Formats: sequence, structure tokens, C-alpha cells
Amino acid sequence: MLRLAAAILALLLVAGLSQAGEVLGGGDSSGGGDSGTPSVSPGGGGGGSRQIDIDRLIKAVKDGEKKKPAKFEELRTLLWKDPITSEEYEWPTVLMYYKGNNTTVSRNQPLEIITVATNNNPLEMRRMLDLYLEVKEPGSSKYDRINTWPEKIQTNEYDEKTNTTYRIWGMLPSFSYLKNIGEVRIRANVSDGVNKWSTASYPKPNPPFYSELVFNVTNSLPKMSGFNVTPSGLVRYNDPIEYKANIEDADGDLLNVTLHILDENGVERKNETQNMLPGAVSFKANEYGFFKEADGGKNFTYYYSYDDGIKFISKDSADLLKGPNIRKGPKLSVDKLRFSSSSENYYWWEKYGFNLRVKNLNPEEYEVSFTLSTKTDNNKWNTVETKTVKIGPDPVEVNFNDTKPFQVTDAGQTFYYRVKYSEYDQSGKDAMEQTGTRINAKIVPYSIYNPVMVMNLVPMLFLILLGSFFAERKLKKGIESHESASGKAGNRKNNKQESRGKSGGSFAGKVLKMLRRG
Amino acid sequence: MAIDIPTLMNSLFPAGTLLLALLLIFAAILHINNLNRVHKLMAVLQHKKEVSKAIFYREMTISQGSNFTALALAAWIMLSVAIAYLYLLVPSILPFSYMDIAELASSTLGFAIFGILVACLAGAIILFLDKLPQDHRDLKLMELYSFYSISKTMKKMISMTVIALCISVLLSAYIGTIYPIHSQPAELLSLMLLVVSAGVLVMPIYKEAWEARI
Repeated sequence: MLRLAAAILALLLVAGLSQAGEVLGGGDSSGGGDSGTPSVSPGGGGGGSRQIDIDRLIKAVKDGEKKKPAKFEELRTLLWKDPITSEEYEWPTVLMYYKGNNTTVSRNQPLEIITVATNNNPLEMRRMLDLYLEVKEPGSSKYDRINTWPEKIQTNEYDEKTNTTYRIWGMLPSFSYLKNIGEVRIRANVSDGVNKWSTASYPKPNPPFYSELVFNVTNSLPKMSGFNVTPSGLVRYNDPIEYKANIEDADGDLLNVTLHILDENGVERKNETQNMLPGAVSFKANEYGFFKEADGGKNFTYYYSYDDGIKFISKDSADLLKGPNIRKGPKLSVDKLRFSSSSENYYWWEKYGFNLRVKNLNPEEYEVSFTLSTKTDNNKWNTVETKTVKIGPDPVEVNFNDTKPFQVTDAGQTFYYRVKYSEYDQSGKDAMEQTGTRINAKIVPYSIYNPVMVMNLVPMLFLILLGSFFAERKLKKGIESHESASGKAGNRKNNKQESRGKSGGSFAGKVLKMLRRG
Repeated sequence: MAIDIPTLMNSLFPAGTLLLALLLIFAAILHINNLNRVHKLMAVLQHKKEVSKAIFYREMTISQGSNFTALALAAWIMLSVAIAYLYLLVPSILPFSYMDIAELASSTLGFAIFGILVACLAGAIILFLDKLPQDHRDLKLMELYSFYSISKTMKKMISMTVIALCISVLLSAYIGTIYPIHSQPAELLSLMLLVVSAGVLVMPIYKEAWEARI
């Protein structure tokens, strides 16, 4: 009776929802379906007729479970029926299940925690089961519930033959969240609405079923290797100095790696921490501003400390690592970068000159190398010349004279020039760049009356003429072949060949003879 | 109506190009037509249904002298080089040109290499045509003048085209050296020399066709 009342209540509720336009419906108002399935008429009419059959009702409720879980819970509370209490009712057996043999696991090792329930009661007598998973962490004296909402096992979801069902606890994929390592115990609490019990209450079930799952959770220590500082040797304070290393962790934990930089007296100058996964460690000095201009001439040392959230390694390596060694250097003042050309036409084949003015802002004198490069439009920089010049406090002109920086492919394009120096200038840069001008689009560097052009064209025309005569003499199209074709070949040919054979002599003589023949 | 001189000058070059192309195409057509016509006439005169091509060509052949043949061959090769220099040296009409190969164009022997390559290509084509079977002697450029009666004056004119074509090549080379600047007078003069030379080279064909019409 209670179930029937609940069903009617549900139908009325859903019918009300359908009137509000949320539930599917349709058909006549007779209250009977053509298929014989139970149907509900909205009653009262007004606004058209709608029919709710049982299939649509089930679909609407299923959709509601997904789309409106709160409403679904409300509906379920409304439809709740008191469990059947009978002396024949048998408590379901609920046990933990673990199919693996090794119960010693690392924190990040994936786990599959399963609870298996066996309910031998007839379907009418079964009650819905609420499951809660509880975990006792290392060092803790109590079990903590993992799931806020109970995992529900419905009465109709047991296997028909074995009367069993199971739940995989996806919310506990591993023990990576643990802050301590050691023994972890897992159990499930069960409620059938009337009785409450724990899987731990079963005496000693046979594996792979357990009253409690007991794991020994371990942690692997991270390990660092491949310590290195680049570039090696003497470097400037603002060179791209990089501390490199590798860190490994078998558990794949999130690691905190700290670089400690010590000065010449062994006093910690600076430390920086990176939060990272195992892999390559890189600290770029310029990013963190480890060194300043005043560090010139100092030799630094360093070490690393790191932890994986559980274990802390305070110093690696045990001995301090060396680097970098910062060298002293000048501070350049660079200006007046200019170019000049041998003519105002700016042809690609012309010679160009480039110069810039440099001085050292410090009183010392240093050798500084300057590299001139040029490029056109979107092409790559092309190194033209490198010079090393002593730079002191007095301004020095650095000249690149009579350079031929351009190719024919640069014709018609705007050129850019750049001088790169081995020290940094007043702006903290190691290069100065300027836009030149548009190179003349003329391609051929010779005029028509230039000897080069004369040497191109005259021999070419002469060769064509000579080649034609040569071809005709070989093919004999002028006389012999025709005579041969018309059957007039005679001794003349032989005589010619004889006379040719006699002519012999130099190459020039042969050419002249060839041209004379007619 | 006032004549727009720049437009007229601009249209002269395409017009000249068209004239050159038509001159050569019609010459080729007329040459084949001339020979076919005479071939048929020979069959009629000999009261035969058909005269074999081999006999026809043998009977038609007139020796023009080796020096003239050599000069004519040189003129035809020179014509190819002059056309290539005018149209392929700079992108005046075609979108591509020898100037696109800037490294070669600016090299010391670039112009000579370009001209010799074109000449070799033209020579290779002429020699290839010369290897055709005897039945296709009408297609052999080296024997072109063997089928026509050519006067001494005409022979001199054909020989002189070598000089005209050399001047055309030099003018085109000048255009190449000043590129990307254009010299319209040089272009037109070069083209004019080309057209005149081509006209002289194919004149025996047109003459024969004209006389046959009369």
C-alpha cells in the first residue's frame, strides 16, 4: 500500500511539473494509453491535453537525477518508504576487496579500493545500503570519513545469480595526499536504514576479501645530479648565467628545490626556491638578479636543498659547488653609430664604411671586441668584420672601412647594420643597431661599354657565328648533302677532304680555312 | 583627336611582339603549305597519282652554298638569342627574367653564359629537327632555304641580318645593364631590328607564297 501511495504521489508530482512545462507529455485526455501502459491525465484540462506514460516518467526522473540532483533528492525523500522489517531479513555481507598482493605501496602508486556487498534477501525485502569509506592515516588514532555523501547501493542492482554488487572508490586513487608515511587502514561503514555496521566487524574473511585493507605506504627520496653552471670560466655579471641540474623522484612528487648562492666567505648571498615536478632544474641568474656589477672579480659557490613534502634534504652536494667566477670589465659608453658609402647611389657592389664612438666609463683600459653585422629586410644578420680595440676613458672611434657587406640579392632592399661588443654599454646592452638606407635596385654592376661587358658580348656573338659555320661544315647542308640527296656526289667531296687533310696547320689556320670554304 | 604619345609608345612594344610572333607563325604555316602545293603540282605534271616525298624533296633541293647556309644558321641562332635577350633578360613583359637569378646576372660572365646557353638550346633544337626522317625535310630549319630560289640580293640581306641581330642583342644587353631603369627607345629599337631581321629571314617563304598566288 505504501509503495502504491508513493507511486501515485510521484506521478502527481511529475504531472504537476509537466504542467509547468518541464516534463514531456502529450496525447488525449482519456486517461488511457493505446499500449495499455498506465497513464495519468492532467485532470481539469485547460491549456490542452497531455499524457504521461510510465516510460516517459522514468526518463524524466532519470534526466532529473543528472540535471537537477537537488530536486531529485527531494523527490526521493518524498518517495521514501520505511524498510520492511521481518525476522527473515538477513544482514547483507559487505567486505573490502583488494586484488593485489603487495600491500607496500608508494604514495603515488595508483590504487583500486573496492567494497563488495552480498545481499541474499529476496528483492522485496532488500533495503538500500549507504556506504561510507573510512581511512586511518599513519600516526592517527581515528578513522576519517572520505565521502561526505553516502555511496548508495540500490536494491535492484545486485547480480541475479550471485546476489553481489560492488563499488570502486574513485575518490581514493592513491595516497599522494598523505603528509606522513606508514600504516594506512581502510574500511567501510554500512547502513541499511535500520542497522549500522562496519566491514571491520567481520571476523576474518578469506582474501581477496578483507574486513579492513591495511597498506604500508612508503616514500622515495628525491635525488639530484648533473650540477652545472653555464657559461663556464670567467663571465660577466650580466651574462646569461644559468644553474643547471637534474632532480629525480620515483614517486613523481611535487618538489621544492632551493638554490643557495654563497659568496667568497661562504656566507649565503641569496636563495631562490622553485616548485616543480622531477626533471631539469634551471635557475637563470638574470631572472633572479643574483649578481650585480660590484660582484666583478668575485668567485661564488652554491648548493641545493630540496624536499618532496615529506622528506627534506638540506644540502646537496655535500661539498660546495663552484661557480660562477665573475670577471671585472669595462662599462662602455657607445654612441654615434654611422655608415658611409663610396657614392650616393648606394649600389650593392659599392664599398661601405661604418664607425662608432666608444669610451670606458671606468678609469681602466680594456680590450673590447666589436663585430659589425648587416642585414636586409627580413634576412638574417650577416657578420662583416670583427675588430678588437683598447677602450679607455678617452673616446675612441671604431672604424670598419671599405667593407663590401652586400650581395646582389640585397639590391632594392633597405639595409640595417649592427655593431655587437664583448662588453655592455651604458644601456646594459651589448649591441647597437641602426637602419641604413635603401640599396639601389640596380643588379648589373657593369655599364654596356665596360670591358667586362665587351668581353661578355663580343666573344659570345663570335662563338655563335663560329659555331654555326662549324655545324654547317660538319653537316654539309650547303652543298654536299644536297648533292648527295640528288645523287650528285662525286669526286669533288673526296678532293675537298684531301685538300682539307693537307691544310693541317694551327687551330687559327683551320678556322680560317673553315670560314673560307664556300 | 589628340594622340596620346606615351600610350602610343607603350602599345608599340606589345604590338611589335605580336607582329613578330605572327610573322614567324605564318611563315611556318606558309612554308609547309608552299611545299604541299608544289608536291601536288608535281604529281599532276608527272601524271601520277602521287609522288613520293623523298623524290619530291630531292627534286626540289637547290644548293645555296655552304657559306650562305652557315650564315643563315647563325642568323637563326642569333634570332633566338636576340629574342631571349629582349624578353628574358629583364621582366619587361614576362613576370620572370634572367634578373631573378641575380647571382648569375651580376657575375662577370653572366651575360655570356646566358647567351651561350640560349644559343646551345637553339642549336640543339635545330640539330634535333635535322635528325628527323627524310620525309619531314620540310621541318628541317637547316634546309629551309634549299626549297626556294633565293637571289643574291636576298642572300646578302639574309646574311646582313646577323649584324642587325647582333645590334639587337647589344641593345637588349644595354637594357639589362641599366635595369630596373627602363629605356623605351632602346627596347623599341631592339624589337624593331628583331622584327625586320625575322621578316628578312622568312621573306623567301612569303615571296614564294605571293608568287604562287599570282
